[in-house]
Amino acid sequence: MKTGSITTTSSMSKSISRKRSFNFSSLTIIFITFALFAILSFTSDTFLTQRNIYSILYGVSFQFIAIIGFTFLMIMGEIDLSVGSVYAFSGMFMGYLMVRLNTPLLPAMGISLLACGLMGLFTGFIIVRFKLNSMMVTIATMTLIRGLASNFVNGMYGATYPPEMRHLSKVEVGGFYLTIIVMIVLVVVFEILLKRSAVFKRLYFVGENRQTARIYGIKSDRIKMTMFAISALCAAIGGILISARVTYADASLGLGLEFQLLTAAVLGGASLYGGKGSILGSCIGLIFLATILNGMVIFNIEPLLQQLIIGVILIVSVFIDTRLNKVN
Amino acid sequence: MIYKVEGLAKKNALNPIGFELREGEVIGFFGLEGSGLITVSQMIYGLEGKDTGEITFKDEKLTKLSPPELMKKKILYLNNNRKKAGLLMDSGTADNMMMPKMDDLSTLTILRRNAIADYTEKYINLFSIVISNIFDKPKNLSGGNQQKLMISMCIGTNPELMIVNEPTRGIDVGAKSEIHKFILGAAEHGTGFIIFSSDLPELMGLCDRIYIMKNKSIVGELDGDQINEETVFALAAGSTS
Repeated sequence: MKTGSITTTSSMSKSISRKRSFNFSSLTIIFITFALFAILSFTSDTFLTQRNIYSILYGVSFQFIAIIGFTFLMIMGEIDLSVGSVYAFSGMFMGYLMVRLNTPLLPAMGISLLACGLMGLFTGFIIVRFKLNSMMVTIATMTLIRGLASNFVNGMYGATYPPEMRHLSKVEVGGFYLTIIVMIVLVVVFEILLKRSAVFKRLYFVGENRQTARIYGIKSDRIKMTMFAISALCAAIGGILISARVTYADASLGLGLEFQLLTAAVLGGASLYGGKGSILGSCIGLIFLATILNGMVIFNIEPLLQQLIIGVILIVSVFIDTRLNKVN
Repeated sequence: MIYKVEGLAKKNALNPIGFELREGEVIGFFGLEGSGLITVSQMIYGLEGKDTGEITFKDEKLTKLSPPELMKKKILYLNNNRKKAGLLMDSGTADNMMMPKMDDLSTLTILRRNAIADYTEKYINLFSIVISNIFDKPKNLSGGNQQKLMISMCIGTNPELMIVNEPTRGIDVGAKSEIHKFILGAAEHGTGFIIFSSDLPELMGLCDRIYIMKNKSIVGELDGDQINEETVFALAAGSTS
């Protein structure tokens, strides 16, 4: 080696520990969710039934797909508030193609996914190219895409989607809904990849300090653009499946989803300041929110109050996030 | 010469400058605040855009000035501000070490944990960085150890040219002399150094040649025994030049 001359200053090699300190960021939310489960199980007979838990997981499994890309962006210190609109748009567009233009299932799905992916890529491009704030840009695209989706709601005149599309959300493997199985598999896969893959490690590096990552050759702009496309794609896949479940173009679909995902991700250890987060944490965050809503239904609490509770949880989690993670 | 810059300029930021680095040489840039020192270092590493200018490295024109492209050519950059851009203060030391070298330390993008630990340990020992665990966070290290870690991150990639900004600002005397000793040693083994510093004694101790900057221009070039404090300060601060 060329630069061996310094060895003279320290030929003695000390032993340095390689033990990883126990750092499981999702632990808090897992604990809180378990506590919530325990409370609900003791206070209600209907909560801890196989059917109820299964239906919570099934409900979460759609939003889960959307939160994957959303979490990647949060790790990078960016945010995509257009997820809820894309979630609504993708299924409605696909359904519209099938119902009004008689497009077969797979091409319709492909066109819809492609359209959403391109919209995400475009969003990412203008954010990167003009150095714009992702929150502001995605508020704009949220409105824009919601507008496009509303056109499909009108164009469908309340018609239901074709049976083969509706079937998508009901695919079962070994007696379980496929979406739930996919969720469990992806949580495990991403828990490993986010820690051990160079591709995902870069997300954390860029999220923690973009300038530093840049000096050492990480192409943060390109990664960011790709991640906006992936975020839109994840929301689109989740959206197609939830549309299939809802069976018709519902104008309120995905309304406020971005704030639910944001709350869930922050509860699961992600930070608005970037550099943190995991898919497992975000998934548990979603389960936590779904469980709270489920509990409120069991106890017949006003639906209006549900919004209020979600809002309060968001404020609390943002408060904790700022206290924990804001630099200076 | 191995590295040559010609006509590098940017409106309102840098008047046209040119300089060169010969084989195995350590050259320095000295200037007071506002002289354009940092601008030059950032521009030649592609961190700041330029209007005009040609850079040649080992008989090859560098067309794409961006960190990933320059790193491929074994040109590395040491920033003057560890916290702002230099180290990931909240990630482990091993994460920092592997960052410039992730492709070499992974198989099919999966990071090789043992290789990373060995690699990190090697440089911790080489620079006698005081640390108890390779996953300790840099924010808990002393300034001198942080600086040594940052240099290790660059050296680990076997650079042929290093653009160095304030290599020893705000660190203890021991670490300072270790870093100086290291730079001289590496230069002897063929690594080129361009050092930007506001610490004149440091530059005098390390450099074969010094360029002096003032008002966004190079106002002088001093060679070997011509270098003395009066001459340098006269150029850097004087009203006539």
